[in-house]
Amino acid sequence: MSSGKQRPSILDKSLSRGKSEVSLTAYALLFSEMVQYSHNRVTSVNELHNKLSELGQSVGVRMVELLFVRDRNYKRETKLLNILLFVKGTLWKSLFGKEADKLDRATDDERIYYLIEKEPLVNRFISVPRDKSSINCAAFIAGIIEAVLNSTGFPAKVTALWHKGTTFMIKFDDAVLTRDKQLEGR
Amino acid sequence: MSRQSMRSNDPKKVSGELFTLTYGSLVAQLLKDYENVDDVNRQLERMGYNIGMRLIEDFLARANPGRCYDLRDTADKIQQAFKLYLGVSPSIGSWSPGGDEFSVVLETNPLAEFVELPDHCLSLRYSNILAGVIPPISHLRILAHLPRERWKSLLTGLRKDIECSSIVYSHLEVEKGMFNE
Repeated sequence: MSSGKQRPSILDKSLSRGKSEVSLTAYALLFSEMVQYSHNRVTSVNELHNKLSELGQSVGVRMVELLFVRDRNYKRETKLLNILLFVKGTLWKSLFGKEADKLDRATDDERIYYLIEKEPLVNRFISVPRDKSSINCAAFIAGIIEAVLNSTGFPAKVTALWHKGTTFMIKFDDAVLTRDKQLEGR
Repeated sequence: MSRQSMRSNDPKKVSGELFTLTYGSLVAQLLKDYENVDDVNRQLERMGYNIGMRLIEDFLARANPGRCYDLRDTADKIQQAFKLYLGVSPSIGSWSPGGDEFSVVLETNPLAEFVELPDHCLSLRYSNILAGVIPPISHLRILAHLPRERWKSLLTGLRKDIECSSIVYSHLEVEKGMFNE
């Protein structure tokens, strides 16, 4: 195609309002294909988790841009607690239509938070083989959370664990805690 | 105050954006994993095929589509399935004179909402997964894809999005009795 013809770029379109919906079946089957594809290319459970998390990250980065532009009027969060509430509330609602079930804080380590979701959307149709019971495909969602936190300036490591349904363990970098303490009281 | 866009809370539905972005991350991953774009196209079609194989059961159970007596029936069902699963109604058109070929045209493509392809991926058929889904559902064979230019407009998601399918006569016989209850 000749490059002379100017096509309007995607940025000229107005942003969608995020009301479109597709059937859960379509999503579940698509996700299942992604898991199978990833599974065929790895040799260990850990690698599978990493692979799924990577896939999730590319979703997360885009959700940050989308949500902050559309719902938050370009204002980003600066406080640790607020960004966690953003993940639990706004992000969860726009991805899964509900808030996450629970947000908890580790008692022994102030860098660690737990976000608990009894039945994550992506796990609803996945049964885990008995000999590899540690596989949790919600690693995909963990990737989304991780990318959201990283790209809003709260670097963290997020892992999906089987505990009370699925628990996402969020471990922030030390620097995040230090900064948050400095911000306190402002 | 945040302008929270609330969707209906139908448990059988998921956010279209989650779907779009998830598919996008899959395509991006395939592009990383494979060296050339044609392999990516093939892989997407294969995945679509797997999905179609499982989707047809759901479709039969849920929509109770009844029997297809000719290709126009089949085209109708395809349209119906798009509505049911992707929430969009494609238009069916460009029938060949012999009535054995038609095109499925998506005005809005939920797969490609935020998509803008870089120049080196222009031969990527971004929504090729759909091309893979249709055959196992309908027993149709996709013979040819539309010329690249029209695909390109699909890829940028700007104007008409074209998925096309064509059929061979011999498959028509197989296809009869496909959608029986």
